[in-house]
Amino acid sequence: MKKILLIFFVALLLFVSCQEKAPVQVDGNAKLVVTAVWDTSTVDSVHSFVPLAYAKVILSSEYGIQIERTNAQGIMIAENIPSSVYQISVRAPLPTDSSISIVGNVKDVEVNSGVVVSDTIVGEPVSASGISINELYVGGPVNNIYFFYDQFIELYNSSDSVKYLDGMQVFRFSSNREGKGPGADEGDDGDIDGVTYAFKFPGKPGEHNYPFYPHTFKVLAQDAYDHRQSVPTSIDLSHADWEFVNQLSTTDFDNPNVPNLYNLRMDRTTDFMVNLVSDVIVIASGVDTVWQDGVDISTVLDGVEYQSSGRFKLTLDDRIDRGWVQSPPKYSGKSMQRRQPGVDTNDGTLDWEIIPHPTPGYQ
Amino acid sequence: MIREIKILIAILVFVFTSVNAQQSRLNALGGLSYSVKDIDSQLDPFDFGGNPAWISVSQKNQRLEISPSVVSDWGTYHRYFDPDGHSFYTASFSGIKPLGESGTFKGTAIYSYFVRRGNNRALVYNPYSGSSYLFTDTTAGNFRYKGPTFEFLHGLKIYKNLYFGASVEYQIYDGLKDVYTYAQTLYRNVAGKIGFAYEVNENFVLGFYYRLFDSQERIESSDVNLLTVRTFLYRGEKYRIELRSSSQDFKIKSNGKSFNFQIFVKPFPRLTVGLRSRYFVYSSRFLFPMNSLIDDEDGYSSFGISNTLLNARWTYSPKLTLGFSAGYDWNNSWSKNSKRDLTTWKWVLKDAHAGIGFSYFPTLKLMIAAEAEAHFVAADSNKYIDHISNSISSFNNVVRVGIEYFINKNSIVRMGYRFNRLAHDFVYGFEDASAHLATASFAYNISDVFQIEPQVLFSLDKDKSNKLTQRLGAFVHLRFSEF
Repeated sequence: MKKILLIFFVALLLFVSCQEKAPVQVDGNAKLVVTAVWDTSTVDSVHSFVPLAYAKVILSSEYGIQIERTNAQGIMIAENIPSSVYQISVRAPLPTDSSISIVGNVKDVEVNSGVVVSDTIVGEPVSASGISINELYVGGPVNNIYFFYDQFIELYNSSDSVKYLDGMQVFRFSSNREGKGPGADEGDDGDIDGVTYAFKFPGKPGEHNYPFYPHTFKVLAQDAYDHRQSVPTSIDLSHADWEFVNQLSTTDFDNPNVPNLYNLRMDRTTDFMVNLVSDVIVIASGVDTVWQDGVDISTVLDGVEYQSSGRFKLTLDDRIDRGWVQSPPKYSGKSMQRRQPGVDTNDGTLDWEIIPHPTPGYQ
Repeated sequence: MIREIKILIAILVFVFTSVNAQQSRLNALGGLSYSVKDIDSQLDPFDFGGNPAWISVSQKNQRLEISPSVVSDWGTYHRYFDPDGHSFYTASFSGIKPLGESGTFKGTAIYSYFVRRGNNRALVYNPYSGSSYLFTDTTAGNFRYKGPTFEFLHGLKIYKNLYFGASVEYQIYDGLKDVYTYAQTLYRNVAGKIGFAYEVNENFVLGFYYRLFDSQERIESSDVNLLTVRTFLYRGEKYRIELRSSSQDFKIKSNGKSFNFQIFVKPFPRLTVGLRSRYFVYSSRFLFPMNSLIDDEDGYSSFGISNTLLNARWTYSPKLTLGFSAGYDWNNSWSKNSKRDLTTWKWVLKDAHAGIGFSYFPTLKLMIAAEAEAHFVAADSNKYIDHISNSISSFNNVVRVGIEYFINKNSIVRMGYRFNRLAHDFVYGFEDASAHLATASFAYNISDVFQIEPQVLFSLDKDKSNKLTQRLGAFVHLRFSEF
């Protein structure tokens, strides 16, 4: 009897050892130390690196975005964070001029558990550079009738001088998928290809009929209409600054009180409608009027590629922007906006954020 | 509280429970077990040990039980990813047929239709599986599951005192969430057992069986309104990745094995002692299907569970039976991020218990029975990715009382009551909780071979903060002693 019991328990103990062992390294044990400085030589003849005290640090990874701050010494320590690949952006106002932002980005920082990863980010002043795309509201309001006609593009003049919209062009790039993709420089000839829609402001570049005052916004509505009358969760764009109108369409809504951008593609009869979650939008000076062979990169003022997930490769030429913008879900009523108006580091991933509601004409 | 510790019962029910449709008399008595003599609570390798090899010895008579049932619960005593309530509609058919020299056959078929009302975000069948991985969307809505479960079991004597048995189980459920993201699931579980029992002598029996199981759950979220599907894969309690596309597929594959030992001894004629010990080991993989052949593994969980239970039943006199139970359960699990080979969670749960009980016939028409148990439960968890560690222990108690009254030769009334006092509820995570269960039934012999027993149950679970869930159930048991 005793022998049998002994065998029984020995056998049980043997089986107890069957389970696999857990990995020795554990997740959530990584440490990231970021030292943020800025080079004063960019605004001063004295070349020195000054800590960016109390700067905002944006940590972006597959787990989402985490906002931290540097301390008085310009150091940010993030402890017990999960292992991942992080995109890091540091932002702070220039101490001598709060209208200028100091921005520094570092991409693809591999942070592993049990390891202290230290990095120094050198920020550079991003001064008022001109006209940029500031907000894209494309996903539609909350609705179940597939309504998305309240799309708009918001521009911002971040410079201290009056700019003029005369002859400026707005493009949607979604073709050229058989090549490098929409917005890529196919053939490496210095222009980007895949124009689907091309609209322009009236006039020609260099004329001064349509001023864009410093530090103001311009809303370019697909239809300048109070869309709340169609879908209560939508927005009022009847007071938009500009409206896309395809003169070749007999059905495109045209608000007589709002000036129009007109279609340049004679083979297109639709309005300036863009994809709800994934597309490429570019604004150009209008100097290159022959867009059919591609839009010269030198004439591009700003460009944004937004996507629903990072599974698709970025196709917009990296001379225009190096990162894709995360788009909100379709019909969520959410919008995409620059974190700070006019702060364009040519990295959409870090420059942009999703906001819960569209803000046409304001930040 | 601790998500992984809340799951013990769910694991045991979900993954390892054999199909068991014939416990209706004991269920009507508040769930009494070791202190009541019953065809379904014998201290033998089949009833107590779950060993198919012993069925031909344990079950000498043919019988068929058909049990349709409706059970509904509602309330706030639940976890974050649990539904607000359930509605279960079940029809079970279970028959045992002795085949003479060829042994005994048991077949069970259960068809279930159940609705998880207000199911909160979780898209997986068992959100509290003990893994750090959880797949969710963003809405609360009804999740409907339906499907059959089958078990076929056969046991026979193969040589002198050696018995052999085997069983197969198959379960398939399809589920549908009725709001965004309109997730559809297909859950399939296959299991098989082979067992041996050796009767050393009439007072000493040894048993062993081996069980294999394999399950797969596939979830497809694809919104009928062509909206972007927005889902989340939690890799811990706090950290999750967001997934967005026109449709999203997710898969959980689990497989494992269990080793089960039984020893039964009769030291003297009126005392029977049974010891069973089980060791389960299984793993779950959390996958994104890339195509019909290739899955991309994001997470992995490993589970090890051992249970040892000793029950004794002493027939003190024809009127009085005393029961004793003691056991020790050990559950261990860890999860890892497969892509980085990093442990995300690790936890251990231990439960030691002892209980005593009796059943007493003051008259030939009346049986009174009671059982009382004390459990000491301790849990340690480390959620590394969330940077949360916990160590909790608790004394929990259970009391069961049952009364059976024979009104006449054809009519029996049964009533039962169970009370759980939980200093800490390791299933739901609440403190200072209590659970009450009341049962009642009326059995009537329509003929010598046919009995009908309607049964009702009501339960109430609550904690000190007045979170409260109530459950109401109605069953009808149709028993045929010939078929």
